[in-house]
Amino acid sequence: MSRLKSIGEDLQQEWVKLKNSWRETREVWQDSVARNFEKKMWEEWEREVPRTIRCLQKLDQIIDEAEIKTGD
Amino acid sequence: MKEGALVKSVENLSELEASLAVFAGRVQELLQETKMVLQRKNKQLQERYNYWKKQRNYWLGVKADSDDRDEISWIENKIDEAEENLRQIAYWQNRIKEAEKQYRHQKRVLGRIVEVETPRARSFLRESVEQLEKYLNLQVGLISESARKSETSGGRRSPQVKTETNRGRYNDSVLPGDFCWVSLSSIKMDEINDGLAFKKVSYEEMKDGLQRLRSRIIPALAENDNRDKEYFREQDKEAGLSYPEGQQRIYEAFFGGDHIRLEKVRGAEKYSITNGRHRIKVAKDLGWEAIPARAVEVDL
Repeated sequence: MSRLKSIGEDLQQEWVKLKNSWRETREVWQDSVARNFEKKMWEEWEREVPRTIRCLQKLDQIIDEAEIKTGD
Repeated sequence: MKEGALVKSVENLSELEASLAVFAGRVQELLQETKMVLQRKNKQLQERYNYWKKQRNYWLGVKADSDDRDEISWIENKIDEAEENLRQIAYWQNRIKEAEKQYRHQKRVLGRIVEVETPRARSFLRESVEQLEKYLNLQVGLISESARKSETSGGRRSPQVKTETNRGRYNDSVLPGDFCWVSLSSIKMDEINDGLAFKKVSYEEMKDGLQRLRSRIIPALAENDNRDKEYFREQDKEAGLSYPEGQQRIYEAFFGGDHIRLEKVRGAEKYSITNGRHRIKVAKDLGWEAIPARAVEVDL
């Protein structure tokens, strides 16, 4: 497995852990402050972290292909 | 919000704050590692490019020195091969550059999230935890025990006790046996001398005990009100804590033989302190509104 792929998987794993922690918190934290936190902070993470993971996966695929096509 | 949910919220918020710290740290490590991997990959590709460039230049030189048509044809094949490799590498370098551009944009976004937003979020969560703890402190005594605390041994508990110790906002008390939360405002605080000496246990140690009662013992009882000193003994054992350091000592201080005892004549306004002046004094200093105790009313 390429190192970039492994980094992407590590990031995905960390993200899942954080999402679980958030889900557990959200279950017992349901006031307007929680909604505000979700809207102002969490939603951006939820959008941007997976995007970064996808970018890493794409980069990994291209580098992988480049190595095959330009290798000896 | 019920007290049980409130306590759980505090714990969850603290855990989320810790998870955010771990996540941010790990992301920074991974982004740094990605940077190094990309540098290495680009360098390898560039070395390959340089190799084929050298090959092409070499064969161009050989071709210039040759006048053998067959040899020149073979050399031209070599030059074509080198140029094809150069084109391929340049193509993939461009593809990688494009993908890197997108990744770099995301990296900046994620970098800002972990370097700027996450500390802000953590700070916000810490403040929320503090506020909730403060709120919990304020409310810690406002619990009714109508079902479980109807009578005490010896003196007879009056329903009036519940009225004084409960404002009706919470009813999920988890205190053992016939203990109940007693509002400090219903205790004769003038029975505590201003210069009360802390000889057996220091003031700081007692303060720490009260704080741990709130942060550890009460939440543990809230999870399961069958927990007793044996449970806390086991917890201490698992954590490698001696009796003076552990939770069993705190549990016993409040719910063991040396618990806080309050007493008043039926119909009187406030309780006298039979035992526990020091703990009551520290609770007051900590801003608590109530403290767990055995409170009895006696007939004259």
